[in-house]
Amino acid sequence: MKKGTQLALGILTSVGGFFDVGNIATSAQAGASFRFQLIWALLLATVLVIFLVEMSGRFAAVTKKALPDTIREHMGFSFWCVPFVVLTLTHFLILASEIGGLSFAMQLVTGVHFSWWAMPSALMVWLLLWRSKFSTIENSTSVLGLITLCFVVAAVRHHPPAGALLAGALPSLPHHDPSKYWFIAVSIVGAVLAPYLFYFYSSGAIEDDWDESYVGVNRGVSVIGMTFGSLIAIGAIVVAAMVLAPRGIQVDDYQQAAIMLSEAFPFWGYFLFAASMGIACLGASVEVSLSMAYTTAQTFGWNWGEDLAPAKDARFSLVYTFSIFLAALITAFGVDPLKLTLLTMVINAAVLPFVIVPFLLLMNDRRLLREHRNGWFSNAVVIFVVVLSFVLAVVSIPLAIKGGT
Amino acid sequence: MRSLRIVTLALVFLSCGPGKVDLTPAASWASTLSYMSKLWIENRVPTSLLHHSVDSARKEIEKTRKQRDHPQLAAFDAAATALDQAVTDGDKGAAARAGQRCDAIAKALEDLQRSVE
Repeated sequence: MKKGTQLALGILTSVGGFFDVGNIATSAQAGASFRFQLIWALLLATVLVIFLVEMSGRFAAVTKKALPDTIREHMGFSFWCVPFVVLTLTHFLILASEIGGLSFAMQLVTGVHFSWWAMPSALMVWLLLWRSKFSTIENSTSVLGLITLCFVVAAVRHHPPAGALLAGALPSLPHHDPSKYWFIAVSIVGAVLAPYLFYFYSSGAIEDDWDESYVGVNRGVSVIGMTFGSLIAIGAIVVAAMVLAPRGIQVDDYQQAAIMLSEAFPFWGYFLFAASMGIACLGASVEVSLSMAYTTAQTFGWNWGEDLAPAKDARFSLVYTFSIFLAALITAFGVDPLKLTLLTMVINAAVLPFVIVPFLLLMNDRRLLREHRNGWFSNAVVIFVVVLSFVLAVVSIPLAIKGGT
Repeated sequence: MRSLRIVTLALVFLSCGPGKVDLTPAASWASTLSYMSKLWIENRVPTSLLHHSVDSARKEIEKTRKQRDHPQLAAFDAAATALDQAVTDGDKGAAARAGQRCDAIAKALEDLQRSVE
């Protein structure tokens, strides 16, 4: 019964926690500019995230250790230095994007400019971390995050053409603006494969006291949760394709995305979008801050744990405190949150090899994982998509700068 | 007559200087304001959204005009200002007219962009 409850909660967490500012931004842009043509990028990223999240949970359940801890122990601090720095930088950029998204959601509701909401948003995130236990944070933000299912409902209400949807599930060349097309494709991959996600997941499994008996639950959570989560992102692409694209509205600003639910939900659409964005970004901000603190504490061998009182893991608490308010400064200075998000997502895709290679090496370690180590198929899938993402990212960033995206 | 206008505009546009200016973002904002004006009239979006969106649209107009000025961009600026004022005054009739102007400008900018590509 307990495993069943854990499975259900885990799926809810994955569904409610999947959709964040990166998915909102990239899905809205993809649908508005290229209709259904980029659904394949989302599907490709979802397959890979299922593999990575499952691996991360399996690792924690079998070894009862978190990833950064083990990489540092087995491969040495010098080896771990580069991935750690890369991971910390991406964590920081993602956190800044999520706080930017949360602040923008507050602008949508109140009319007050998002830069004024940066510090109050940071305070909200910090208070949740300071005062709550891990399970409270995990469950509450994820259950609230189910509001993002409104994108799926809206997509169904718009009756999208099935043929075009299926065609979009297969990779195709763009009909126009190829540099923008590939930039968004890479951004979609980066949005789904945010490195914090699987590093956080392994630490979260330790917080939840998973052991080897949870390997099956983990598999269920990864496959079902991530699949349903990606349906929400597909829903957002469909809605943008049906509402914004026919009107010639591109998403160069979150304000343009905010009106996309107004057709399916005539009087609630705008506020549903704001609520979805706010809750999704709040949940993600909490996760990214925690992930940053976990990674840092595990790298340096400090005490860590959200369930510990801050006095017992002072350095862990200091890391998330400092990170949250520093990241909020970027929004407070008025940096365009959408542009920041899109660039961050492409950087996510570009740095994947640095953060996944150490992870993949551990997953093949017979001493650590015994019969639970990776098979050849898992390794092949992960390596293929990581290399593809890296190549696309390296090509897309200069194109995007040239094209002014 | 409309085709002649487009060709004339394209020639004027092309003669103004070197380099290619992308009018798609400006056209997108014109479409955005047109659609938002309809939503506002139907009370589906708050007034603040229109104000902020007009600000963003005008920044885009200014950015595009710095690269190459054009009568349609000036017309868009005027329509956006009119929409902003209409929303401030709560005048749905004026908002509808400004929205229609934005719609026409969006189409003209899109046609112009296609003719220079």
